[in-house]
Amino acid sequence: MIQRCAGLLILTLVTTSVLAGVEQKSESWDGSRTTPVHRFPMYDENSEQIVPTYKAAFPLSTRYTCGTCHNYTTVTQGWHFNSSKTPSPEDATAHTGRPGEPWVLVDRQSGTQLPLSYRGWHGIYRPEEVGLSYWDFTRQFARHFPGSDAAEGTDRERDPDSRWDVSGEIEANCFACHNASPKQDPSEWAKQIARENFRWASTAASGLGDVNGMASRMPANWTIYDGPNKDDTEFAVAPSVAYNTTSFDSKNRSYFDIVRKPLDKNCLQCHSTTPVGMDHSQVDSDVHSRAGVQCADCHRNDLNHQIGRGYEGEAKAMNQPDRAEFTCRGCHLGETADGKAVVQGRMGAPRPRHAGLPPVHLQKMACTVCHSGPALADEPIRVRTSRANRLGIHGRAVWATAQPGIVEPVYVRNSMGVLEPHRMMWPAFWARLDGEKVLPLKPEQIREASKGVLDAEDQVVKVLAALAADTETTGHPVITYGKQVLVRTDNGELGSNASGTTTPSDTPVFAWQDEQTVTPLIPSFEGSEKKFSSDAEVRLVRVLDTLAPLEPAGEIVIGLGDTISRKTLEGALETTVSSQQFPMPVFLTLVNGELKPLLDTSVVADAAETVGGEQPLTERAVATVLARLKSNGIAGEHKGAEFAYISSGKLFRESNGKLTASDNKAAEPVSWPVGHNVRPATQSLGTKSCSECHSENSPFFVATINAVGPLRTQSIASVPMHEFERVDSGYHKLFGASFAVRSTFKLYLLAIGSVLVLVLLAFSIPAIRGIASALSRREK
Amino acid sequence: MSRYPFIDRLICLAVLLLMVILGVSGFLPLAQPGARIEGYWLLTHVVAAGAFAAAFLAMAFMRAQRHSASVAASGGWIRAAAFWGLVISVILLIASADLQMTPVPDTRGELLLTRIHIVAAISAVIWGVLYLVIRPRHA
Repeated sequence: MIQRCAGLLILTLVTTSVLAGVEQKSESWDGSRTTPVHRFPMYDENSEQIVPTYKAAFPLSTRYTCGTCHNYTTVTQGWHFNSSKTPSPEDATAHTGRPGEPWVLVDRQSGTQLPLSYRGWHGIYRPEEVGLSYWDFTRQFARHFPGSDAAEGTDRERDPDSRWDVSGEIEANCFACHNASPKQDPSEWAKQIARENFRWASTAASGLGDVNGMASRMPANWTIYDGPNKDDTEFAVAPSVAYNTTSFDSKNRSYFDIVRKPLDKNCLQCHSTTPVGMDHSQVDSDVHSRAGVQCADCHRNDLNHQIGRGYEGEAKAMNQPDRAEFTCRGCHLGETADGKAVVQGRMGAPRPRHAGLPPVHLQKMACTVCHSGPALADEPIRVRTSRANRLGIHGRAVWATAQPGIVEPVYVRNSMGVLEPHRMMWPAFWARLDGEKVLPLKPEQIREASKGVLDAEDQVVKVLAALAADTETTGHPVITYGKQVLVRTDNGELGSNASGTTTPSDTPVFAWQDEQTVTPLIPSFEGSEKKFSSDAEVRLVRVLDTLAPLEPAGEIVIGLGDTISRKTLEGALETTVSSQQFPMPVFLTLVNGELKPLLDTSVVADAAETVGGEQPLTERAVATVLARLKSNGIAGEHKGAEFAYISSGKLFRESNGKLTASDNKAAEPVSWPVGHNVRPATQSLGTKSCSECHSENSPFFVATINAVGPLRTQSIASVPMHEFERVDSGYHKLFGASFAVRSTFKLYLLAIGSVLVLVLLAFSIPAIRGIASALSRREK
Repeated sequence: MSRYPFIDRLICLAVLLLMVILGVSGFLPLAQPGARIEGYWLLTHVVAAGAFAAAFLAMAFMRAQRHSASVAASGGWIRAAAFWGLVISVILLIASADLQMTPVPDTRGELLLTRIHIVAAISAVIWGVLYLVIRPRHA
């Protein structure tokens, strides 16, 4: 027995050391600057080799496919994968360095724009603080997420509602960055995430196979081992992958165009920022890109994927001294922020002359102040970012959102006393007040509590969606109101395609739009009899059929004049005289003999007012919801507690049906430094003259930063730039004004200096002559 | 002796006063390590510098002859040296400040000019004190 145990122990030790040796061999770089050809077998999450012709094949697993050669555990310790591993909020800054862009939980209906991050940055909420589990976080943000981290669902015990067993985990998606193939499709990735096909997403996005079905529609007890759903082949179709067999060779290996340094386009999928309203043709790329420098040339990393962020102070914060070389100052000036010399001119970085620029600028301001982001204008401009505004996802649906409102550049002094250009946004959310504490509420809680108040757009969309089920008519259903033509967009939201061809109406008109022609769904009666034409009757019966699911407790009928038309059991349309009058044709619900409009005019009016607009909430609606929250609480709890809504830099409370605004720390903006785009030197701030900043009314100091939020209100926070810069505005106005006489002052000093030189010469020349003659006399 | 002794003394007093202001506004902010002249200290320094330049030019005109080589040879050469040392220092101060405000020097040049300005300022203070302390024998 002892011998057997000893034998097993020796075998284990030998095996471990052999494996460790293999691993070490594969991890170390042999010195070649080439990238190996990545033709290799694919493995699934059970570490089984994928056979593409096998119908029940699992999706590929990067943990086992890429992990065969590259240590998956080491890779997933990297910056892109470690946010949820931040030790604790208290000492987070020590591990996470300079603030970066947060994730923003955006919910249009409830007016929520909540900045979230696991990194513990100042002013940004940790997801668990607002009740978001890893599952919730992954569903919200994995569209622009490289996988692993929270997306591996390690907190499933804490969230019984999570569906990780159905969806699978999202492993680190190596292909998102390292696949140089034009087949790599981030939009496909986002679609698979929206369908909760987590474990299938990387296979689909890489183009290796086609994924069908939706995990989001599968029952909670379904797992991948259950295979196809035999009971439902149309709606609840189980996710499955059909591999493109032509991508595999005879040994079931597949070739991937893998690059060590990710292509810029892959980085930009999640890290784009563009000014709002600017046409694509007007946007310049970063000056480094134009010079041939790739993102990963500066933002480099080893296998540990600790990607350099490139800011000054990173070397110290992350305890990695070599990071100091890969900052603006490191490459271009050959020095660290502390003035220590490092290798200058990496990647051909030119050394700037900064002619005439007092060196104090280089000490008190980050390089990005003058060189990065949009040029200084009268006010900061609105920008959209990939992750906050869901950019770069293409398809029929429009994913991009106008919210959250982000502005830049706002010059903010950082903790080291250095000025940096920042992007800034203002949190917007509903909260329960507990003394001084402001406790954010989840959008779902507000949606539930505000039914009938904040869901006008949803109600209209629901009706339009039901009408769209009529596939026999070409075009799509619309509701016209005022000058608006309300439509359901491809991504299921309410849109408007205001058309000049329709007659403005002050009551909602249900209609059908084909090209630019808008035809009312309910036509007038034919002739003098109160009867529709036979064609109209057939169509209206079909419409009533499609609308029927909206009122399961009763039926949908048509009101026109003093008549009611309803569908008979035989499928015909029966018109009877009603005691009520309907001046305009309208769809009604009939429940227990009571008639109600299918959509109230006020609901359509609210929807028409807010549709497409950036600010979906009105003060009236917010006051109503706050009063309702106070009396009803949240899901029956906290009745009588005080609630508030935060938007545009203010905290709003309800009092006697009206809103009162006040300042509050929770309403303060959050900001993060701008790194890119770097502009050419000729477009740098101060190139034209010092007075770009140093003048009495330079926006650099006096611009007003107006808060942006989802609430339509006059009560918004307006903060002058110099408050974020923490400078004395009076002094800077005076100093700026002095630049008006600076040229004269320079000439004045030049003149006085020149005269002094002449005086010196006038008296020194005779002295020199005297010395010379004295010497020559002695010689005699 | 000057032809206009009152004006001469008045100008001399102004130069002395402005030198004190410039010294305080220039050196006091630098007392802390890593600190630099900025804010209202800087504004005061610049305004005083403009006045000082004019006052000093006037003083140079009024006293240059008194400290010329021929007069200095007759005895007061140390004071004359202090005077001309002061003149040279002030020229350097003006030149370094003026050049710094032009779009000519690069960052290294700017830093060099700052150093020159500081050294010239220390030198001006030394020559100024020397000039003040050493009195002419006939005085």
